[in-house]
Amino acid sequence: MAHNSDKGHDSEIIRRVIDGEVDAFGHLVMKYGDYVMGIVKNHLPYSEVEETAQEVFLKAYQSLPSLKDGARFRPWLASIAVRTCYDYWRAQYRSREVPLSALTEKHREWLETVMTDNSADAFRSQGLRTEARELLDWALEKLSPEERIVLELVYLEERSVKEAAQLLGWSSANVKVRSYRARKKLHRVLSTVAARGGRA
Amino acid sequence: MNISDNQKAKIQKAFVTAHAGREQPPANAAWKADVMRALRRTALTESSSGITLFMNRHLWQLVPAACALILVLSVILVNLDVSLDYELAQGFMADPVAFRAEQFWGI
Repeated sequence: MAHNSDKGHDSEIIRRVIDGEVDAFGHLVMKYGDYVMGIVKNHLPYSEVEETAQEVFLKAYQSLPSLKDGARFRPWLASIAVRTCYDYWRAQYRSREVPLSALTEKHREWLETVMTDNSADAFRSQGLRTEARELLDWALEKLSPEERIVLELVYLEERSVKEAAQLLGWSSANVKVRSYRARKKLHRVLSTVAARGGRA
Repeated sequence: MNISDNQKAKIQKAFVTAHAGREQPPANAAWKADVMRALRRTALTESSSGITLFMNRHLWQLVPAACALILVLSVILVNLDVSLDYELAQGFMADPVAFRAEQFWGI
């Protein structure tokens, strides 16, 4: 019930913003600021999160008249956030500014440990190590922007294909195919790391 | 080196944990103030081109009226039984000099 009134409150704010009351949008920024930051940080480097989250709210403000149902503001905003992150990577790849980080022996050892460890909590503790994130970022750099965003949504955030498709505005079949290819490519990249020490 | 399905699952679990643990900057007051400042700038730019915006948003609403008007005028024109070519030829045959003068000088 409270959830419904919350959505009603969003609709009311949106109506006021469309009627020209710009400051009313501040309520939405206050309410969904952390939510948008949480989405953006999953896809972009830390240094880009604040600026991109700001861009997301600007896009949302400009597209607000196109939002049919004010109660659906939250998923609509999430979709804008994901697409903005995707656009960021497309622009980076176009200008070839993707930094290609190097791997060290530590990363290869981390991978070997994960693959051979059998204890139940090992994946969690290993995932918390810096090497895990560095290796993951290195592997993601090897993928195209499309493969990268799909892999992050489906493989790393464990969202359903349908949900990822809605967020990206793609067909489910497209997400499924790209997700399959991205996983395959990720495993291929990781197998070279495991075999050769990963100086790709 | 091939990675087995079991190993793939282990790697995924570790990566999921690593991904979820990415650091998130707080949406603090300074950031929110920045967002609102940028928004007001955008709103100001939009209001300066308010007429264009109004036209973009509302001009399409006149489309049905324009279509109806075109339809009515077409019906009237058909019912008037005007044959422009015939009228012109008749004017030329009746008085070619006056017709020419009218064409060139508008007399």
